[in-house]
Amino acid sequence: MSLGIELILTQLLNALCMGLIFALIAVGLSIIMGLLGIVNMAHGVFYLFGAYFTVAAVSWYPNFGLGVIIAALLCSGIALAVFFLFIRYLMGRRRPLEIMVALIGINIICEELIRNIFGAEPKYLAIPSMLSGQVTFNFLGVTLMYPKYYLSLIIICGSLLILIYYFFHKTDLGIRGLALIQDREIALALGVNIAKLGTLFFAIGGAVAGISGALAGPIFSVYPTMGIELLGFIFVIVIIGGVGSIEGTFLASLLISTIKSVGVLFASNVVVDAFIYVLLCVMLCIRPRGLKGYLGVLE
Amino acid sequence: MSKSTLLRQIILILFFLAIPFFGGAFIIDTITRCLIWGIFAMAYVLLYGYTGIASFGHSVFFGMGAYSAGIIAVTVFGVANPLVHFAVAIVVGAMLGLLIGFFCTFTKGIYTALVSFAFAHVFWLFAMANPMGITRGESGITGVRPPPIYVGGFEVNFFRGVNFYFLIIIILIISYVILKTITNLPIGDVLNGIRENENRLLSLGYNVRQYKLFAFAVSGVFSAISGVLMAYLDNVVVPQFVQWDVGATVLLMTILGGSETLIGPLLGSFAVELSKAYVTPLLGGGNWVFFLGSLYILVIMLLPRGIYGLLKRLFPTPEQNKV
Repeated sequence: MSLGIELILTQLLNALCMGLIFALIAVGLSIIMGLLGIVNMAHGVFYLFGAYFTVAAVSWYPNFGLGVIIAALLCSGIALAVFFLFIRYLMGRRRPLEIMVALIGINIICEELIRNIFGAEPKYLAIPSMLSGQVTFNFLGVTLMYPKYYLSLIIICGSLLILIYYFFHKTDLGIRGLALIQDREIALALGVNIAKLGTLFFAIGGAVAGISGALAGPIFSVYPTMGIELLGFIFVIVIIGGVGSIEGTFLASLLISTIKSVGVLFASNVVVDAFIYVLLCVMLCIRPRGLKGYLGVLE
Repeated sequence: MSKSTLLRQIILILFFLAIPFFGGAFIIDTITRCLIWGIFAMAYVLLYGYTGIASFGHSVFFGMGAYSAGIIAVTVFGVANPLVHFAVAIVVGAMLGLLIGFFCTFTKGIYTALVSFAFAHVFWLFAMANPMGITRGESGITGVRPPPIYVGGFEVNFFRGVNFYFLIIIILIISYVILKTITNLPIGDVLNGIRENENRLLSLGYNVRQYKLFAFAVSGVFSAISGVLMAYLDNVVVPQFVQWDVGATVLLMTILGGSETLIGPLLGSFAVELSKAYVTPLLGGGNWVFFLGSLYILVIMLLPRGIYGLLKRLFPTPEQNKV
């Protein structure tokens, strides 16, 4: 395989695209983990439902954008349902790991539900016709063909992530949330309402994961175990980035996706995946709190 | 150990020894499965219940025990001697326990679960990827079970049917005695202390990390043994042995049975496996998954101390009555 500059550039753009999708999923998980101290094993379900809701919505009314919006709304509704039915009751009554076990149950039931309704075979989600085709760049003598859909994904996901960053660093609610993550006791003593913020962030996390599932649908195939298979990587991203840190999650997902897409040029898929886990181990040894994590969460 | 406890245990053992004389092949197979999961769950509770480490990647030890038997028996060495399989599985279990324990002990609480989950994913990838043809990828390794041996002209297979059932009862009793001894020794008290208050132990000068690694290694050894047994029972090793949901199942069994004793997880493994065997025909194949999922949720919502805790509350022992 020749390693032309075009190939490397294409892979870097792919890395950016994939990294932004990973970041969209991981950010909700990371925030909830930092805020409530629970590991949301059902987070993959939002990603999964996002993709399948889009499949259903598009087959009902063929408009991809509308499908994504419907998926986002429904996913945040499901996130709220999970939060009010289970997590609110269990918080404080059970240990975090036990809450995680209950969430595994939710994950198992939702996966089987999807399998019963849509079947176990992968579903095909078409790229909307407006965004199909390629864009040709001509830059300093390097000609690069790149799919339009991937480019629009980079723009959409990137702007969503900027919105999330803005929300957490510039608005009052977001700053309160970050305060809770950084120093829970002081923030609680100052009267920050953890239950309200938890509800809000859970709904946001669900919606964002749903959107990423819907947008990733045309790239990766849509199948019942797509959520839980991705969740292993998402956990790695959350730990490397630092639990509860938004910038850390962004950085870690870009790092992981770059390693993944550039690595496959040199080694097999499994070796690259294994390398990512080695990276996790090294990170745990030298800096357990992660790239941008807060002291006291993990160390 | 009091006399009545010993008597009760002997009656229990005799009951299990008597089952093959009354039950058919299906019952024996089901209970064999329960007992293998029981060994695995007992190994798990040493870590989860006694030491308070929430590992979520125990499928690694189980699956790699099975794979070490498969690799030795079929794909690489072709050695059919079960003693070699067990010896290698024990070494592999201990080494993996130390390795994974080394990384998991950098973290605390729920984050240990995340790190071990990531490890489960790595080893699942390893099993799926078929490096140098030793794991045979998705189709798995078949024909792991050792061949029958000839004793005085008779063909005897210790790894099949009723013989295997009796063998597993013996292994279970040995495992129980070893694990019980460990928990009764001073080292068991240290492990309990780590669960209750790690910082106090640190301030008393204990090297907490070494004790945690010890718990990981012991747990890994017995998990690997149960993995080998499961490989013999199914006569196949597939990547599903290493998949994360094995770890989730053993966690469910432990919580469902009660994570404060060694008997609790055994109860849990019987509850899960028996309901799998007898509820599936009632509900139909797919609906069993819904049942399992609701079991995860309901146990946590309604029965946090497990079946053992429930029994303790319903039938208090005389010592409890005195207090």
